Amino acid sequence: METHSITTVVLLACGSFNPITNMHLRMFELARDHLEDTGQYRVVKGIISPVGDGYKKKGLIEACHRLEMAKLATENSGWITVDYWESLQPEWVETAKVIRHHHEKLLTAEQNNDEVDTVKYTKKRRIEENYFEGSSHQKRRDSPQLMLLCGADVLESFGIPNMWKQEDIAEIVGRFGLVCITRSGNDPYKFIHQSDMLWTYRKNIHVVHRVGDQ
Amino acid sequence: MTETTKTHVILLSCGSFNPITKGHIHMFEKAREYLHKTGRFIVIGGIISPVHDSYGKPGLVSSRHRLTMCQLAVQSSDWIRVDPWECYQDTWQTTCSVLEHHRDLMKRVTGCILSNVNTPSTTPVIGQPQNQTPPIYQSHNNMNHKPTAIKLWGKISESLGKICCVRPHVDRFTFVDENANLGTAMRYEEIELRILLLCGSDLLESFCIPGLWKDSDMEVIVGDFGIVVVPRDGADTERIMNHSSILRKYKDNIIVVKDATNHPMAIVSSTKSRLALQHGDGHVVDYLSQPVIDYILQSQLYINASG
Repeated sequence: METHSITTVVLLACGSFNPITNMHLRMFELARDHLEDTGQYRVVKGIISPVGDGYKKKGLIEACHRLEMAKLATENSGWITVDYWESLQPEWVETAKVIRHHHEKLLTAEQNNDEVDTVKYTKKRRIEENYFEGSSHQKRRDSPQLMLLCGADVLESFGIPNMWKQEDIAEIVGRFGLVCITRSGNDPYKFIHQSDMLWTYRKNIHVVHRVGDQ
Repeated sequence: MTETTKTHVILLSCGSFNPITKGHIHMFEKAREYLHKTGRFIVIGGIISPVHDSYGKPGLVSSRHRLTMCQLAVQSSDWIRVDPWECYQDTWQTTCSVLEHHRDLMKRVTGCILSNVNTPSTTPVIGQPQNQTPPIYQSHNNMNHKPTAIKLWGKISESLGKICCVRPHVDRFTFVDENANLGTAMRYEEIELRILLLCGSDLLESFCIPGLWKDSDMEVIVGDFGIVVVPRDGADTERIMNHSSILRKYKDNIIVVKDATNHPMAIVSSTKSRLALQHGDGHVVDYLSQPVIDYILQSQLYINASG
């Protein structure tokens, strides 16, 4: 019997998208299906955040092209959008920072929604907001949960020494959450079980098995 | 018997798996083999669900290790997988709630209604056995009598077919009604999906221990789901089943796998394996798969006597 409330989710995928492929788009669909099948989540938005030119990966074409292709690939999607912020930054931005940026953006968007009310309602809302001024619980409950969407390679990269800051990993899996798309059966679980940090936050790591690749 | 009348089954096994042994895998393989041999079932998957750490059994190693060992044991299997849901919960889960969790998940994933063993459905849905008279569309002779009913059934099946990801086979055939109108009817293959609890005779025996299981849970496990028992060492399953009123009541939902008792695997157990490890007994290679043994040695598990 399910008496829990449903958490709304926004999926964020960072990466080169060099170029964006059907598999990238399928990843979003797989993640959404998986989360919604648990009965605990509702995925409302997907964000593609291509990396900037500052990443300096061999063969990485200019961000403007990668963004344009991603835009074309998602122009018929009702829920997946492309975000330019990361690519506009002069230097490479750490994934944790990109997540934090989008989290802030989502929080602000929630707050702005209140301001769209007509005059009749704003007075009532102002009273309510003052009442809840002390606690930010109300706002946090209403804003969607931001989760990082990635492949198993990203999860496993958490184990590479000096690749990630430990506090960043803790923030990503502890505060936000990870949806990890994998082809190789239970290998991500092996990795989760062998890492103290990931084991602690295992409930925030959602492993999605890719079946029958095209 | 055609594929359409077979029940598709998922075998779910709950337990400590402390550690998982070759015997456990053998249990899955034997059950699948037997179910296929009866001609009534197709086993489409096996799930190993290790118990939560808070189960409190002495000598139970961390679920981190038990999950990893289970995964190592099934890494070369193409149909058995390990599910960490139970271990990931905040506390111990009853067998009943694990079965229900997987059923509810399958329902949402496939859009199918999983049949309860004894509950016939009054609405035509994918997955309900038709054990009464065959549907009218199956007989060309009857078709001219009720063309409207056939068209309605076709429409219902079509929308159900859309939500169900288990693509049923469709037969289309044309017919002529009493007004000489040409129509098309569709007949869908019905897929019945069931989750059965897979266990050894020790679990069956435990049903007879007063107070160990909640009666309502047993009603659900045996009555709504069903059990596949792979008896091990000379256990008399008939006697066990006669001992419990609930087991007697749902006798038809208990499938006992024959010919499993005299196999060398029948003597393997986690307890024997732990003892062998503690005493440095080389027989452990008969009980546990090599990757599991390697992991145990590397993680220094089961060194001290316990359980």
